[in-house]
Amino acid sequence: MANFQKEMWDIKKSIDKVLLVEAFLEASILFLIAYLLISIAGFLNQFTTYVAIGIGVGFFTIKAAKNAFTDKVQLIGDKYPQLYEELLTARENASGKNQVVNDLHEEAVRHMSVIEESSFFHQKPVTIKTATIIVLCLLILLTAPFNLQQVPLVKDTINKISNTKISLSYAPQQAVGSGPKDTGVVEAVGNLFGQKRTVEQGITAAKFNVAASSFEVNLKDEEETGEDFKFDSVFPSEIGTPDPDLFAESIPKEQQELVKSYFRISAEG
Amino acid sequence: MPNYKKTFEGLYEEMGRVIIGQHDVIEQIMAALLSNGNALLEGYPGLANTLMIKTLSELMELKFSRIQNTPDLMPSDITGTYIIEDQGSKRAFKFHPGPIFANMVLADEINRATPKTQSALLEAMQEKQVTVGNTTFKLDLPFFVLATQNPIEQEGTYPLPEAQADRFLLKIKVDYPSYEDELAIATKYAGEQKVIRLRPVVSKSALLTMQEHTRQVPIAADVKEKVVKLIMLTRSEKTLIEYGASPRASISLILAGKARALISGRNYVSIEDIRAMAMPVLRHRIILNFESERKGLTADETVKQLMAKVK
Repeated sequence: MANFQKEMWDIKKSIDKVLLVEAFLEASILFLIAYLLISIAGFLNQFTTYVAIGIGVGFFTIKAAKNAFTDKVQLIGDKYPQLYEELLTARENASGKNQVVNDLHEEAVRHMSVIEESSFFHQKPVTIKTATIIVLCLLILLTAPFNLQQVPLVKDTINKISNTKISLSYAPQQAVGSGPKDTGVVEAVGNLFGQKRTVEQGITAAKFNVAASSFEVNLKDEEETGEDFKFDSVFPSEIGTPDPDLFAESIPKEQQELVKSYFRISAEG
Repeated sequence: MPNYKKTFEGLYEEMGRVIIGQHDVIEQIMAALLSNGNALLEGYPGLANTLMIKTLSELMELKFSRIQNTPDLMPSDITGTYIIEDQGSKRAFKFHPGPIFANMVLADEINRATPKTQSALLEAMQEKQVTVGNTTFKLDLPFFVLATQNPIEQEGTYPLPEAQADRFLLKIKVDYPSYEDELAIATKYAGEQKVIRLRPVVSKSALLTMQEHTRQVPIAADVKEKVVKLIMLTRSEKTLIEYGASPRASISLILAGKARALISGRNYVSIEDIRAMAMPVLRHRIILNFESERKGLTADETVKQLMAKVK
């Protein structure tokens, strides 16, 4: 009886090992696919790499846990149908103490010697999976210089999308401040100085116009250079702030200090 | 534990010296014997039913007796009776055991006996004991009754009621032999008569041990569930069956499966054992409805259909 249980345990471990190899291959494929897609899409950085690894590790963990709970007798039965009922009965009667059950255990152990670890190794699928991994690795290498965001059509589309986003973020005429936490310029991106914009400042809505300027700041480009956006470093020296008196008429007196403070903050970066 | 497969192979070989063919019938009789049950044999006359059971008892060193059932057969003719005997100066009643006091009893044409006599026989079968007057006599074990029924000549017979038939573990159908077998039978028995001396293969005590081992044969839960599903299907399938099998059928099917497994040299019950024994276990336990009978369906065909439905 103890012999039977030991033998069953050994077979279970062997099958688990084989299944783990397959799970590892599948997880690797998943990771490589995720990595390849991220790389082609041009989102490759430390975080996205971790995301790809996470997908692979997550899949492997789930698959390994699922394999651990798979009925091994059923798996043996798929490969060795003549052993299925015998092993199933022997396992269910592992604690049986009569002579027939003891004989069954002895016989089952003897019959289990025909079970080969390699029979659970699905040669064709494993070969296909290994080949897929190799192909994916090659694809990653070949597509490394390629970035989807550099394709003109995609680039234009992305720009269009981000511009649309900006114009949606800013109300063209006016906006109402929503609280002290909104103090300062919110989302100072895009061609702020080329268009009329309403800026939120403080608790009360500030209504003022910014004069049109010939300078455009494309924050998208700035991001691509990988440098932190420093307002003062790109702020052109020739741009000057018009005399506040020009706006005196349109800015209520009590809000003039707020506007001044806004430009001070903007100038300081 | 001894290798029962070899034992039964030896038994079949020895049996083959007298009985030609009928391997399935012998196997089913053995299954009933190992399950400590009784069997109902249905076949046409002249199929060597008596010879078969007599040969089997010889091979197992069992006491054999034969009861030819007739409408005037009384229960005491089976069980035995008290007879006054002279014992020197005085007279005393002495019990004279009937033919039921044997290990293997062939109750030939059981449906010709009256229900009263049938009941006496069936009681002995069930209880393994006989009560005559106020005294109960234990029957010698192993005790096995093989009753035969003639499917033709139903005139003047008393067919076994379903409740009585349910007490038989198996209903074994004896078919006509194949062409080759019949040719061999004709050659063997139409020629010079030879006395065949049989070598006992299984002793009485070995048979009792086998019966004990039969009950110990383990059965997987999966197989057991299939047995119960099949039996329950006989009750729910109203489109085919009017009355289904009782829980006794579940027990019988599992027991018969265990016996067949042991005969096949296996220490576990396979679904194949259940498939092989389902028909002999169920054919006398289900009553087909009018529609099935009208279509000409037999109990065996119905059981086969039900087995196909059990997953």
